[in-house]
Amino acid sequence: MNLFERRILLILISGILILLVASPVLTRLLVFPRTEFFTEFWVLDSNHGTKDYPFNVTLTHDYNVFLGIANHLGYCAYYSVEVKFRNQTQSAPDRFNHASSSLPALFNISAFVADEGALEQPLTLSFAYQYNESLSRVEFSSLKLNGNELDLNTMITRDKENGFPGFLFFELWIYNGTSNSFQYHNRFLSLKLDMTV
Amino acid sequence: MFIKTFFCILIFLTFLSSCSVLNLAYCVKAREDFSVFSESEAQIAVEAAEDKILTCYQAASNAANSGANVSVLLLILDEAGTLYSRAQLAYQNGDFNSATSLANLSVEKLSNFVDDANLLEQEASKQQFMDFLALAASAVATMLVLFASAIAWIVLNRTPRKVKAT
Repeated sequence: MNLFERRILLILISGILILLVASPVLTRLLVFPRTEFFTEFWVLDSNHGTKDYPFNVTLTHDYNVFLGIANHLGYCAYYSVEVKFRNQTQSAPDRFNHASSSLPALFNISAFVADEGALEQPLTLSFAYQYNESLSRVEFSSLKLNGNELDLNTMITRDKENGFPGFLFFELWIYNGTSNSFQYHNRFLSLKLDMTV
Repeated sequence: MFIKTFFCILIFLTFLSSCSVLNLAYCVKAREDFSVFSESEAQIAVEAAEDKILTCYQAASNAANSGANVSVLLLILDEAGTLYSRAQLAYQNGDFNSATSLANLSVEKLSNFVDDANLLEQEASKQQFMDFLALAASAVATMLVLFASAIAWIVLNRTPRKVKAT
C-alpha cells in the first residue's frame, strides 16, 4: 500500500467515524428552524369534504359538520370557539380590521391543542323556527348544537333572492397567559344557510 | 272484643308510623337528588371550574415546554372544558342546579391533573438532561476523532520512506 492509498484510507475511516459519532449532534443541527407560527381553522361537511355543506335548512332537521383546529404556534394553546348566529343586518366579524362580531356568543367550545397537534369535533345542528306569514319573516326560537339547546332570539326577513339567509359562524379566540384573557385570533368560519319555509 | 280492637289499633298505628318513616326517607332522598342551588352558588362553582381549568392548562403547558407528551392530559382538559362550557350555558339559561353540578363535574375530572402534569414535567426534564449529556458526549467524541485523525495524518506524512539501495 503506497502513501496515497494510506491517505485515502485514513480520510475514509476518519470520515465514517466522524459521521457515526456526530450523528446525534447532526440530527439536531440539520433541522430547518420554524419561521411561521399560525393556527389552522376549518369546517368540513358531513363527508369530510367541502362540497356538501348544509344550505337549505328545514325545520328540526339535523345537519352535521366537522370543526377543526390545528396548532402550529410553537406552544400548547387553549382555544375557545365562539358560536354565533346572525341575519343579513347584524354585526359580522371583520377580516380586514381583525375585529370580531359584537354579537354575544351562543356557546363556547373549548379546545386544548398541543403544538403541531390537531383537534376535530363533529357538530350536529338543528334549528327551530317559524314563519311569520303576515310579516314575511322567519322567527327563530332555538338552535340545537350537539344536544345543547341555545337560545336564538333573532329573525330573518326575505331577501332580494326570495330567500331567508342566516349565517352561522365560528370565531376563534385564544387564551393569552400574559393578559390572563381570551383574545380574538383573527379567524372565523361562516356557513350561509337558507331557511326553508 | 276489646283485644280485637286493641290489635286493630296497634296494626293501624304500626302502618301509620311505617308510612311516616318511608315518607321521611323519600323526602331526604328527594332533597339529595334535587338539591337547589342559588345563583351565587352556581356562579362560585362555575368560576371555580374556570380557575381549575386555567391552572391545569398552565401545568400542561409547562410540561409540554419541557418536552413531555401531554396528549392524554389535553384529552382530559378537553372533556373538562366541554363540561365547563355546558355549565356556562346552563348558568346563562338560569338553570343553576345543572350549572353547579356540571361545574363540579368539570373540577372533579381535573382532581389529579396538576400532580400528573408535574410528574410528566419532571420526567421530561430528566430526559432532556440525558439528551443533553448524549449530545455533549457526541460532540466531545467527534472532536476526539478529528484530533486523532489529524495526528494520524501528521504521523503518516512523517513516516520515512524506504530509500532504495542503488
